[in-house]
Amino acid sequence: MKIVLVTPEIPYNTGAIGRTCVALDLELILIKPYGFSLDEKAVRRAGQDYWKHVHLSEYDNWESFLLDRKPQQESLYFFEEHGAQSVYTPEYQQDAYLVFGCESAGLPAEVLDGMDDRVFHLPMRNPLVRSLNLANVATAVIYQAMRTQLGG
Amino acid sequence: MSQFVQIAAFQPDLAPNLGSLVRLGVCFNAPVHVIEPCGFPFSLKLLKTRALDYAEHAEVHHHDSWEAFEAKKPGRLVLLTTKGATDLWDFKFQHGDCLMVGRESAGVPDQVHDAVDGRVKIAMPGGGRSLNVAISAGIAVAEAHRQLRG
Repeated sequence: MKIVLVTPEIPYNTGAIGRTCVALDLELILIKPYGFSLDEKAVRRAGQDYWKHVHLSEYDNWESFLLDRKPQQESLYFFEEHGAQSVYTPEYQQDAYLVFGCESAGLPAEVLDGMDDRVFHLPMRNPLVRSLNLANVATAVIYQAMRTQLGG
Repeated sequence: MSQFVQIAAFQPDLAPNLGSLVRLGVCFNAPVHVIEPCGFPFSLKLLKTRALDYAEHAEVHHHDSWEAFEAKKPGRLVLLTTKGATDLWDFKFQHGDCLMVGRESAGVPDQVHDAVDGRVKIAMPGGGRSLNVAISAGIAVAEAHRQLRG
């Protein structure tokens, strides 16, 4: 599996997700532009001494990612609060791309276009509040997606 | 809504992590227990600020010590730990379980490790010593929710 962050804004979240990618030996793919520089201390602080071990790839935009990787539609999993299906539902493909949008606005419409049946949400228990921060959601989702591969 | 699980932070070193745990608690209707001493001056007001716009929904219980917390024991204590533990996926969560994370720097002392009712570890096949405490708690809470969502 591979983790894709589309235009992440907050260095802490990218660092923390990177640390989890190292723990699971997953590639982290970042789609530009970012709201920070990867050289910033905040990225390394959140990623701790793991950040240097992150298997990192970068793309200038979503189109160049699609052109280069040519992912099958069935291997793309998008995560949004309004996703029609729960993250607990699918059987995740081995070569899945788990795609997360930016903290303030989620995934752009052009990325989600035609992908209605590929959008998933992490169910929570309090309907009154908006969401968890990106690092918390993404890491919880990644572990759920990896559950069967990890023996669960 | 029926009670789901609870979260406990054992002597947290870093205020931002405790803020993340409180936000996690709000999103999952899970009360958060804070066990002193913290590595920073505990302030409910400051903590709620860190939980962003969820302040009014946060349920935080402040305990002066491990002994004070243990005496009140809010539910079955389930420690997230890297040592001698059941895999997250094999652990059967129950409603009311209290998921506890240790200090960022040192985990929990042996006395606490021995006193809990369950010990759960999160797989890290890629290596590394540990995950961030708030990240770990989020992974465990999502798995508990999967098991208990009915």
